Amino acid sequence: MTWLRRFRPRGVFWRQFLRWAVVNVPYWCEAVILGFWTMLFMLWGPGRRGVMANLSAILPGSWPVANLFRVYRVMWNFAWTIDDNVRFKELGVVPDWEFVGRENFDRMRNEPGGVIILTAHMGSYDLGAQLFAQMSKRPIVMVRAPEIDPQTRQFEEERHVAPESLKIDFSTRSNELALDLLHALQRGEIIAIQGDRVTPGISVLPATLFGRKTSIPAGPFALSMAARVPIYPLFIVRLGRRSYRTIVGAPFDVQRTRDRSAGFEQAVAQWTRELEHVVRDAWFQWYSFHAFEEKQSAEKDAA
Amino acid sequence: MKIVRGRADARWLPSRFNFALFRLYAFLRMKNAKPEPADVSLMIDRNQNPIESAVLSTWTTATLACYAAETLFASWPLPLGLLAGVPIAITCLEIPLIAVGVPLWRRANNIPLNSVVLMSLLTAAAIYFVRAESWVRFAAWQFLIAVALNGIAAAIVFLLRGAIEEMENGVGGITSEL
Repeated sequence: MTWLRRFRPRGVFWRQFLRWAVVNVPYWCEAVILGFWTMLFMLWGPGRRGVMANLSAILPGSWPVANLFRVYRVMWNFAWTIDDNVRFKELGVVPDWEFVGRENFDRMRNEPGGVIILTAHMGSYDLGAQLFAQMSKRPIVMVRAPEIDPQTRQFEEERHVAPESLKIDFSTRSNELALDLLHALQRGEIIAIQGDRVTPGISVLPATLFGRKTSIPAGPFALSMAARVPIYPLFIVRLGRRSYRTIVGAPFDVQRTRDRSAGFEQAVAQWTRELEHVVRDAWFQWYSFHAFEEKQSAEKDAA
Repeated sequence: MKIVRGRADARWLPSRFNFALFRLYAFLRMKNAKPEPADVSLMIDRNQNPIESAVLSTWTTATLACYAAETLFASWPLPLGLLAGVPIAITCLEIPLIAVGVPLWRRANNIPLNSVVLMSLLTAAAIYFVRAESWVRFAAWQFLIAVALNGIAAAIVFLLRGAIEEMENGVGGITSEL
């Protein structure tokens, strides 16, 4: 039934409910209420199994029982993150920030041409992009996967209040988007893309993450090569209640050589090294709810 | 919103705390704190401190769990009754939020109203349970004592408002539109 769609995991009811909770729950009892409702996330089977599979790769030798409790920690952090995001949008509440790699951050801001920010599903990347757009002098284009549910998409679009310098584009229209992004880079804009998850229909590159074969989006690397712009790895890690750390890694380029695949391979290896380093320390907030190794096997099956 | 940049010790600024007891503690901590240069941006918002939030969440839930253990699970062994009281306590915290928040769902921010309603109900519950003859009266007493201490702290913080303002201006910071 159409009416029941709203109660599915990606349905609009949960967004409305979260928005309602954010403007109703007093700050001094939000921790217990949020902890209680996080248990509901544990009923989301595919998400729970996805995180369990990823944890077994990130923490080799870990016990499945212990990983079940770790899944709760991932969900708990995820709940706080989406809560902080909605709180910023609805009430203008901004968290505390600390920086690691300020020299890289300043270098990125002062790059004469375009820049690609490669990030992961960690911390509050939405909130980070909004704040960064307000701090930056240059326009930022954030590429993300669209909401699958039409009602949810409509709800989010109605409530979307981004600064003028932040534009959100969707990864599904890959062909036209590639050209748009290339032009944006040539105009000296900043493109922020998540490089840890593949959505159906986009080009991929093979990679090894935590010793397991996987695929990562090819787009950022192809753009970097075509536009000759550097890639800056940037991660936003939640430190605690209303507290985040921005980690900006050293930039790297995708080398233009006769052997294109060698250039890509080198850049992908650099990116996965950065990603592994951050995820290993902050596994409890890598919001990758699909098993990253599964993607590879699914593709093989399809082939 | 005011932002302090480059000073990690600004986390103890009293304006980052909500309740008077915590504000007073923060004032004393900040008075004795040494400047800690760090690459941080700290927001000056009265609900920013995580310790205050965690302590108050735990304290109110634990107090309500005591009431639930005494009234609903009196025949159970006490540790089991207290454990069973926790989800009841969290549900009890949510009922007033729903009672106020659902009819007023169009309002942009019900937090101040809900905060007053919830704290008033908790105080009323403590006044009720303090008359009991069982162990639960101690749980109610500690709640009322904490409320009274917070009242005294509020008076002290009011008297110290000049010194607090001077301290906060001394730390510096910028006013941002964020």
